[in-house]
Amino acid sequence: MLKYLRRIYSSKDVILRLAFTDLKLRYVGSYLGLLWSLLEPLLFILVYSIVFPLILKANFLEWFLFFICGLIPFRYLKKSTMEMTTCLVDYSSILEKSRISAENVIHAKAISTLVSFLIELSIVFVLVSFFVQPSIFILFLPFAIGISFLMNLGLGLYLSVIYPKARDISYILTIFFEALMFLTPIVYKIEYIPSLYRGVYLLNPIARLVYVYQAIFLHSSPKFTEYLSVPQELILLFLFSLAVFIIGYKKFEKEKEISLELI
Amino acid sequence: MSVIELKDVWKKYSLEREKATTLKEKFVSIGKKKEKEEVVALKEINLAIEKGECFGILGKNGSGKTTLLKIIAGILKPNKGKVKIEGKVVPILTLGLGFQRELTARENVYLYASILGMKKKEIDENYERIVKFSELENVMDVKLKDFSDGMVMRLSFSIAFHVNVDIILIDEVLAVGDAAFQTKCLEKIKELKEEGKTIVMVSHSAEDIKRFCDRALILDKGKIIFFGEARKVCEKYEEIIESERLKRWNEEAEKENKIEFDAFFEYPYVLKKGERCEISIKIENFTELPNLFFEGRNRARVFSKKLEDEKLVFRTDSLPLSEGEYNIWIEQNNKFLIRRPFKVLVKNSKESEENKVYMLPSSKAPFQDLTLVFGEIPEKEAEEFEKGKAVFVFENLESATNGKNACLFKENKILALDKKEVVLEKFKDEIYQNLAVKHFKEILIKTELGRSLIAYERNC
Repeated sequence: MLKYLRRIYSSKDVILRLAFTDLKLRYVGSYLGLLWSLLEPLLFILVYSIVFPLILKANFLEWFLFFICGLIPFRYLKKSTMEMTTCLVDYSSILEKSRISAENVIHAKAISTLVSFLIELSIVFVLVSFFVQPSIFILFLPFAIGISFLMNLGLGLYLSVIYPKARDISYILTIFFEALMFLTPIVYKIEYIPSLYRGVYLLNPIARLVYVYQAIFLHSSPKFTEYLSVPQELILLFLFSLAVFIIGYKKFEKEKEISLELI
Repeated sequence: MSVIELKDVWKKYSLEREKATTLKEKFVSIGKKKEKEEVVALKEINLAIEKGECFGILGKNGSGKTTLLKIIAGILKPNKGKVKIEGKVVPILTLGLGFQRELTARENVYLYASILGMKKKEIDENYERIVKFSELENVMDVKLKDFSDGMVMRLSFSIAFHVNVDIILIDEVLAVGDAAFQTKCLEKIKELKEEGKTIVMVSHSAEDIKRFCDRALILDKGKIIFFGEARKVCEKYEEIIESERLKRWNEEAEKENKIEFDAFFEYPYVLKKGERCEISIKIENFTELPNLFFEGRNRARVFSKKLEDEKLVFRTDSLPLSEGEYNIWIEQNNKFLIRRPFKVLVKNSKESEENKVYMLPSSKAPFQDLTLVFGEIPEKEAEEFEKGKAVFVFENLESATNGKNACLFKENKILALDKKEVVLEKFKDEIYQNLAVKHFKEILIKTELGRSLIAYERNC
């Protein structure tokens, strides 16, 4: 592991440069720039914010704040994982013709998606702060972000070596994340799940992760009910994400040679 | 000290793996027999490249040049064998790798340079030099999509050349840019060489290799088929290319003119010296009877031609050619219809052995004015003779030749034609007398080119 970190450090320049290029292309490519790149989630949020409060008969503003607190971390998981999955193929020309190692390309992607997430998260923070007093829980935020990052990186490393062999996993992933979103308390609160099934429901680590983000932002809101202890969840989730990362990394190391021949 | 060392390197690609790249395909192909096909890209490569050397790799498309370069670069790992590299390597396989059209030139400099392995600090230090070399000082903040192709090339070249490494690997990228910039690049390469950097260059053009490289090799189907001094390797390569071009050219010509050689005349077209020889060709659409002649070490046009049953037959009773490779030309109205390489072999009988005649190139005084021709010369010397290297000094003359007969020319005339010993005596006499005749030299030059040998031979 120490070797791994040293490798990252020695190639930090190229990782950062690739990440910067990726970000710049994402945000500067069009006329509206940053705004345009945020338009897609905004529209998504808008549609949901009109439809779901009606169905659930909830207060619009209350529901909206709850929704974005869960959605943005979930979107980060989805986008980051999927982008890292196709990463080796996307960067195939560079990988085939330079000495850049495959892992660095994935690290660059991990960083660029992290930065996008941070931008989106800061918008969420500003919006939420208008209506809900930030609580001491906000100090947990860096840990939550770290956990998300580690988990995504692990998933990305694992899936990136599978993708060249089975390119249709990207479709499967899209459907999987679509389903996962509804198994996660994003559009509804956990209390909608009957208490009988709640134990099974909470076996889903993503549900717990999303809950942690919601708790961090909305802790001081009177409408927020506390089910789980955030510090305890953070520790569990950290161990989980570490396991995901180690499995992903091992798989990546084992299969990257074969996958690189296929891109 | 060699900085690049490859020992018994093999690289194989498996084609079977490439077939199923989706789960669907894998599912569909369950139960089907897998056809495993392996393509050997590199076979048994042994190579050592010295520090400060410029090394060329020649070969046709698909001969494994780029694979070899990628293995040296460490992008690919060999299936078998050892690769030892000392120092930092930069592979320049494509110019402007990773260039983004939406970004400015400045950002692309940083991007490409980092892809080539430069640290940010190094790029900062070299930035001014890169820009100056590319001559694009005024447009560094313009987006790359507004650049012309030439400008993009120039920019990428400048970046590639300013990477601070020990070993530079270049893959067929030199043939771009305008003439002035090209010269600049060539000078830069020379400069890099003088700085003690090792350069490995891949190309399918012998020109580039000849210009820069000290040593080179030719790859064919993944194997090193020729290795050595760059100039020689390039000559060999050009020979190979030329013979292939000829083959293609002939195939086309045959199609076009509907020329058909008779069955005996299959490649490698072995003919025997001194024997009766008949070459019949089927040829349509000719206005005038074409001529056939041989060109190689000798040039001969000694065939009688006759039209028999819609076939044109060239005939000779004794093929007047010495051993070697020749092209057959068929010419009509001073236009070549066909040209083929073929080999003339000497018949292995006593009679023909004695007829086999070699001429010594006499470039050193006091032999200058005389030409001595022996009936049989051992293989080694014959080879050297062909290269124009064999110069027989006086003392060694007796031991140098094994043949039975010899012939001495002087002043374009046969002075002696007899058993070797007798001719040698005569030769010695001539040298002692030191008779120099002006005309002789001209003939010597001719014979060294192998042009007038037949004439002498026939006179014998």
